Amino acid sequence: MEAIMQGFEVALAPINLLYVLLGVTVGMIIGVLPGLGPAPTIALMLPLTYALSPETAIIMLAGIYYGSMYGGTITSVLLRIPGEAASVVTAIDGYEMAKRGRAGQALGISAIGSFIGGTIAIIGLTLFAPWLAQVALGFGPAEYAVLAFFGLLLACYVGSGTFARAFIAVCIGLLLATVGQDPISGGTRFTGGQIELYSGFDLVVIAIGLFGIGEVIYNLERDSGLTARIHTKFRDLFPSRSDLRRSAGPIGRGSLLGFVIGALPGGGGMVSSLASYAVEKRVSKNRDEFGKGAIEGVAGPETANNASSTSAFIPLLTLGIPSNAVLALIFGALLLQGITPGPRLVSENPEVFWGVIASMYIGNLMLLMMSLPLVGLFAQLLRVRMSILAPIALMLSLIGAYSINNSITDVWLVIGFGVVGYTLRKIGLEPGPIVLGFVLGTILETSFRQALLTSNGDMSIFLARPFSASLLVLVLAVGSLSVWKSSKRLRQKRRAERTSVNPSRPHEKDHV
Amino acid sequence: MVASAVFKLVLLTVGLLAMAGGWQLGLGTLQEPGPGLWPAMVAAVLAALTVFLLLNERHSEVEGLTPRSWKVAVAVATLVVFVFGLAYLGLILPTVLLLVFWFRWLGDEPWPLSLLLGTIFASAYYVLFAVLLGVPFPPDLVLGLFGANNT
Repeated sequence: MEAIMQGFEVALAPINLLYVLLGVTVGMIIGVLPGLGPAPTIALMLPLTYALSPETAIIMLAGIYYGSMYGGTITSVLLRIPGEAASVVTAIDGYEMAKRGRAGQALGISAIGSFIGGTIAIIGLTLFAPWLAQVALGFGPAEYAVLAFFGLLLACYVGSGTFARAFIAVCIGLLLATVGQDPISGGTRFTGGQIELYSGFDLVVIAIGLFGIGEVIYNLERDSGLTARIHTKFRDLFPSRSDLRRSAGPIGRGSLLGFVIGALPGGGGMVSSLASYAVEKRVSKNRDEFGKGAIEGVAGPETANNASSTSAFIPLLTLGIPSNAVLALIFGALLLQGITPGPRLVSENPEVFWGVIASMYIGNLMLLMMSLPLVGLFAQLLRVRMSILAPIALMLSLIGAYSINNSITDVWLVIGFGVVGYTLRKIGLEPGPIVLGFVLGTILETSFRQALLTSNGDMSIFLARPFSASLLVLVLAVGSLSVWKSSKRLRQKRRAERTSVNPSRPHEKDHV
Repeated sequence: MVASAVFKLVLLTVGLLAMAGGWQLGLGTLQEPGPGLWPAMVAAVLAALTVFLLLNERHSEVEGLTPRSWKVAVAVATLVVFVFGLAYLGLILPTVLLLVFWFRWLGDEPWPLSLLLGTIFASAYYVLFAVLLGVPFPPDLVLGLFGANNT
């Protein structure tokens, strides 16, 4: 375990301690603030990471990511408004607990569960990741192509909105990635003669444009009033002994569930918390309390989502495949530093690999220490209005865009992407999958073409190697399942519309 | 709503154009995939899915232009003005103006708060980017007035 000790040496360096503290604090704050998530924040901070060393940059960005998971819980419990997608489930029982004056216990058990889940996941990461990197060294282009494709598919399947929409967004990202130099033949594609486009679009520009600007102008159409009642009266912050006893099982199960789901490309916080809630409801003796303030309904999901946000780093650090938009941005940050994440990261940049992992232990501990005493303070943050936050974020986007290359063109591009992002949002396409598609586009295309070149045009290469074959089967299974589901949903909707259109013919309902 | 159908049609056109572009770049063969093969494949999937969306979804379900959409047009206009301002007037003045405009008119915040926050944050951005990070901005009007132009 000498490697992890080296990692701690890196993580305990004063500058890295400072940045992990900064990261988790910023993460918690944006997790609390509705409307500002880890993806836009990390996108905005990308220009700032140029000045940092690779391990410091990733330590901070990772801190923002898992910190925001903690923060999202606070709004879920106090306002029934999930600060993050992953806290949706907590809003159910957590808010009920708050209504009964038990907000403190809900927040307390979330903090404890998250810490335990995160720590277990980090231990798992420490043990599992190097082994996986070793295995992945044997992967050829065919495996990578299928793996990247599987990741995209799964991310679309579990994302919000319909599968078709998410996949369209991914395709847009993939197409954007083709602009510029062809990675294999070297010629230029789709540049329209513009010199600036020869090296393709900048991830930072796309990310800031879609998230920073696009989301802000999209939200202008929305009513940003927060009129829900805040239940901030809580006496004890600490869960009672019986609370702890009841939560022990959910926390244990949540950690394992979160770790496994998070490690899959495409898996994420929301899926793991939903899965944990479902499991806990099924195994609990206090099943009827679920939905009315069962502490298991908070402890399990919160543990799971924090565990999964940690294990989500496994595919990124060992395979070089990010499983969601946030990790795609962190992947981008590594690329900016000249590091290509992949199986060789462990051996070539151990200070990054182990430094980031070690720093997660520290960050997790900091979150626990901060979240309990500072909950009251964070609750006050909820008073900040969107009308103030939005222009601040917007300005940061514009200036940040300029600072990438000291170029006004980038600011124009960012505004352009902002408008594109807004337009796509209007038809229900989200920015996250676009970014994920963009980041994975080059890997996917290169692997695909290399595989074909190696096999001399034989498509069966994707089936020949056992790993890619089994993944392909899974891909087909997931793909057909989602197609079947969407068409079933459409059929049901059409049927429902037909019956509701003919209210004077009640007997028609019997046929449905 | 018509607007959403139009947006989808635009997306479809983009997909079809990309397919054509890919074909033009050269599809190559499966043995030797050309530069256009992958873009054409992706564009084909995109076009197919967009057609699926167009045919299967009721456009009234998805959003169209709402009464508040004018705010978006105004917002984008202010951003365009800002970029010109940045190029010719430097960082500080356009930032203050944009922030104050957004706080006051798009956010309905009171004048004093808008002005205060606008000035505070413009200064904060200046300190963060120009001073701490050393980003060279175009010559600044405001700083020039104080005789402190640092380009």
